[in-house]
Order: sequence, then C-alpha cells, then structure tokens
Amino acid sequence: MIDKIITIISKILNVPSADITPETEIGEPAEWDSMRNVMIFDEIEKQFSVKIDQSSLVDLETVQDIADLVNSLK
Amino acid sequence: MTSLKSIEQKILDFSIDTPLKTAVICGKNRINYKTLWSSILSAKLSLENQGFKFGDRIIIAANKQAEFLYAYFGAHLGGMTTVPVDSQTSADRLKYIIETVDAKAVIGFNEDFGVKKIDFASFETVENSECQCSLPVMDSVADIMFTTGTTNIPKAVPLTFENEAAAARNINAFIKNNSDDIELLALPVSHSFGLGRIRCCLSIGATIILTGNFANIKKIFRTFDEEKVTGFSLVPASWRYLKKMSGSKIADYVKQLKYIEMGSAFFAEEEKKELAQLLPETRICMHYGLTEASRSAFMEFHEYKDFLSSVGKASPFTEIAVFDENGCKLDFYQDGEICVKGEHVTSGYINFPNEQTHFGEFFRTGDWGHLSENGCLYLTGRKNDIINVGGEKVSPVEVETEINKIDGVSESACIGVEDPNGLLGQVVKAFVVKEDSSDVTFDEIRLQIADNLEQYKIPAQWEWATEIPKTQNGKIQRHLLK
Repeated sequence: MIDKIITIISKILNVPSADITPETEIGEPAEWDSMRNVMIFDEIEKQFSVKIDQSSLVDLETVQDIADLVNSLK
Repeated sequence: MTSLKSIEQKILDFSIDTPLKTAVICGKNRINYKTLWSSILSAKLSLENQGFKFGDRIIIAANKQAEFLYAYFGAHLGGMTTVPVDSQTSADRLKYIIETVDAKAVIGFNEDFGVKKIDFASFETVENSECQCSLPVMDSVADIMFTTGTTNIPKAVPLTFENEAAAARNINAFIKNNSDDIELLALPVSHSFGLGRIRCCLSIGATIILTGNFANIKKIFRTFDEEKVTGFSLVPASWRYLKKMSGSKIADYVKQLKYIEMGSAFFAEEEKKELAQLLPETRICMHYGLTEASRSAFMEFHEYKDFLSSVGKASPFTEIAVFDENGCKLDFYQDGEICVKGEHVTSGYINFPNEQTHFGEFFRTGDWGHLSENGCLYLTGRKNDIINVGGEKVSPVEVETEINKIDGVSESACIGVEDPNGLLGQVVKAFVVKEDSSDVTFDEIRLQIADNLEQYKIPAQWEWATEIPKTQNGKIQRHLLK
C-alpha cells in the first residue's frame, strides 16, 4: 500500500521514489507544492477507488499519515 | 536626496534597539535581529574576501532559508546587486539571466554555469567583529528581478534601494502592520510579492516565519497556533487550495489574524465577499501591482465592500493615471493604459529602450483600465496575453517556442483558460497544428517540453487545430482561440 502511494507521489513530483519515505512531510520536497498536492490526492482517489473527505485532509502531515488514511477507507 | 532609510539600515537599527527580538523563524531556527545583522555582516565579508565588489551582480537561489537572507542582504551591504532566482528555474533560463546581467557568481546552485559558484554554507565561519561597513547608496541598484515579457524573452527590472524602501513604506502604511506582528510567509521569495513581504516585516522590526508552501495544511495551521501568527500573504490560488483542503477552518483564527495581503492574480468579487465574511475583523488587503511598480493600488475587502470589482485606489505615496496611446492623460471612466508614478517605481528595463516604458514620469504598466471619480481603479484587460497560473506568469510565446521545436509539430498557440478544478485561476491550453505526415501525440509533446519548461508552464489542456488564426502581419490572434 505505502509503496504504491510513494510511487504515485514520486511520479507526480518527478523525483526518484527513493527520495520519498513514510516520514517525508507533505510539502517537504521543493517540488511538492499545493498544485501537485491536489494532483496527488486526485490520483490516490482514482487508484485506490476511495473518496477522501475534506475534513481528513487537514490532519495529514506525512506520507505515512496519507497511507493510514487510505487504509482506513479501504 | 531621499529621506528614506534602506531596509539594511532598518535591520541595523533594530539590531541595536531590539537585539533579542525574533526577526526570522525558519524551521527550528529562531534568529533575532542581533544575530541576523551579524550573519549579514559575515556574508558581506565573505563575499568581499572572495573578491566581489560594488556593482558586481550576483545571482542567488531564492530559497526560504536563513542563509538566503544573509547572502541577499550581505551582498547589498557590500554594494553588490543581487538577482534572486527560483532555485528550480530551468538551466536555459538561468543561463539567459547570467548572460543578461553579466553575473559574476551564482549562490546556492549546484550546476556549473561558467561563473563562480558559491555555497550558502561558506558564509557561516567568517569572523565579523571588526567589520566596518557603510550602508547602501540609495540610488544604486539593489536587485534585478526578471519578469515574464510578452515575448519569450524575460525582462530585467532593476530596483534601487530607494525603490524597495519606498515600496515597503507604502505597503506597511496601507496594511497597518507593526513590530508586534508575526507573519507567516508560504509564498515563493523569487518573486516580488514574497520577497517584498520579507522586506516589509524586517523594515518595521516584526517577525517573519519562512515556510515551504501551502501544501501541508496541518503544518500551516499548527504554525498559526504555536507561533500566534497575526498575518500572512496569499495568492488567490493559495486561498482556493486552503478552502478546498480545510473548508472554513481559517475562520477559527478570526480573533488572531490582524491582516492578510493578497495579490498576483484576479480574485472574483464573490470570493472577496466570502473571505471577508469568514474574517470580519481582519484587514484583508489586496494589491494590484507588478514587479516594476511593486504594489501600486490597494483595497481592503471590508472598507471597499461597495467597490469590490475595482482593484482599489492608488497605494500611499503613489499616483495612478490613465493615458491614451499618444501619452495624453484620460478623464475618469475612459479606458486607457494604466500608468504609475512614485518612488517605488523602476526607472526602466535593462537593455530596453526606456522611451517605450514611460509617459513622462509615469511608468506604463501594459494593463488597460480606467479610474472612477472616487479614485478607484478598474482593470479592463491586459495589453498582452500573459497567462496567470496560480499567480505564476506564463508567456504563451515561451511555451509555443518549445512545442514548435518538437518533430512533427507545424505550429502552435497557447492561451489561458479557466482552471476546471477552480484552484489556479488559469491553466495553459495549447492548440497544436501537426505536419500532415506526423503521428506525434500530446503525451510525446508534453514529455519533451517538460525538460525545458517549469511544471506550471506545461499545458493542462491540448487541442489539435488545422490552423492558427493570425493577423495579416502574421501575429497570432490568441483572442480568437478558446
């Protein structure tokens, strides 16, 4: 699960997947701006067939947080 | 002779008057005014020790880190001109900038560009206790900023220490922020908006928090809580993103937020009303401006509630007039070119005929509009076709040039269209004519142009066309494309 999320993130940010870890913070790599953050969540919703509620987004800080949220929605 | 003090002089004054007051917060690093000044002196000495002198032009990677500030202000103290550039800018653009300004060095970039390369870390160890320094000469050039021109050639805008000190004075006078304020900056500092926020805060002895961007909403609101943030700056795209990701959470800070500065792109009347309702006690100040003339007009959403379709009135110490194409001043309600006069306005571009940039003492913005009798300025259009992607300005010609290089492409035209996601204001749409025998695809074009263009410049929408509409002189008629 988290590997797939890391792949999505690294692809959208156009950075090596090795640069993204579960501890990486949203917005930490310079490439991870708000525009690409929206693209990342759109892609995650598509690939995992989940709907992420707006109220959950404000509690996410790291890649692990994103994985935990997606896991809880599956 | 101006009575204005440079931003550097102000920082020196605060390092003496309020030495222990926090000037900058950057991650876990809290820098007070005394340390800030000392680090600026070290950077200045380090640059001088490396042989740089008055008038040398130095490019700096404009990262939101303390070392950027030391290098930026340190170079100024040494009489050098800085050229702040986005650290993610393309190599081609950077090479162009280096050549245009005849840069002597680049600070904070890894690549080799044939000029001296300096690491930010090299400033740390320089002893400065014996340093004697003179403060900047107000009419010398502090910064050269690059803007997106109507062609694919970026224009170089020189700004003097006087221009920048005047801009900070004008902006602070309108926003009414003071030394007690703690401001969060999540905008890029390679543009005049973000960099200007730093100058505004440090010139009044306030505290500024440098943070990456708005992507991490949890971190933004946590910083609001932990640091008791009283002000921040936004482009419309950042507000739409905040709203999408956090709904009306901003209203939780109704008592805490004293001011917001907004700017850089169109913000609809309804959106202004919505934000004003969420924050009824906050001064939400939106500017109309450009790199060449800083914030030339301002409005505050509550004060201007009956004039929200305007861009406000001339900023403090600023004069705005509307001229026709012959340089004659127009009357109220007559549309013409918006022109600006004030100490904050550039004298003209580098390597560009200045008779085209001014009508007398007024700088020509290239924007179209009119003034009403009460002084409100209304924008009715732009003379050029610049596309505004979430506050980032994109020249259609630059994107078209890259698309046209691709094998199989005959010609192309780019326009700005409304972002269907409602976030960025505009996105780039490309119309492409391919050669008869070609089977090139949009994916192939997208992939190839990505090497030479920043991400936000890559078209989000694509359409095949059989021809590109042009005038008799061969100029693309972008207004005919949708």
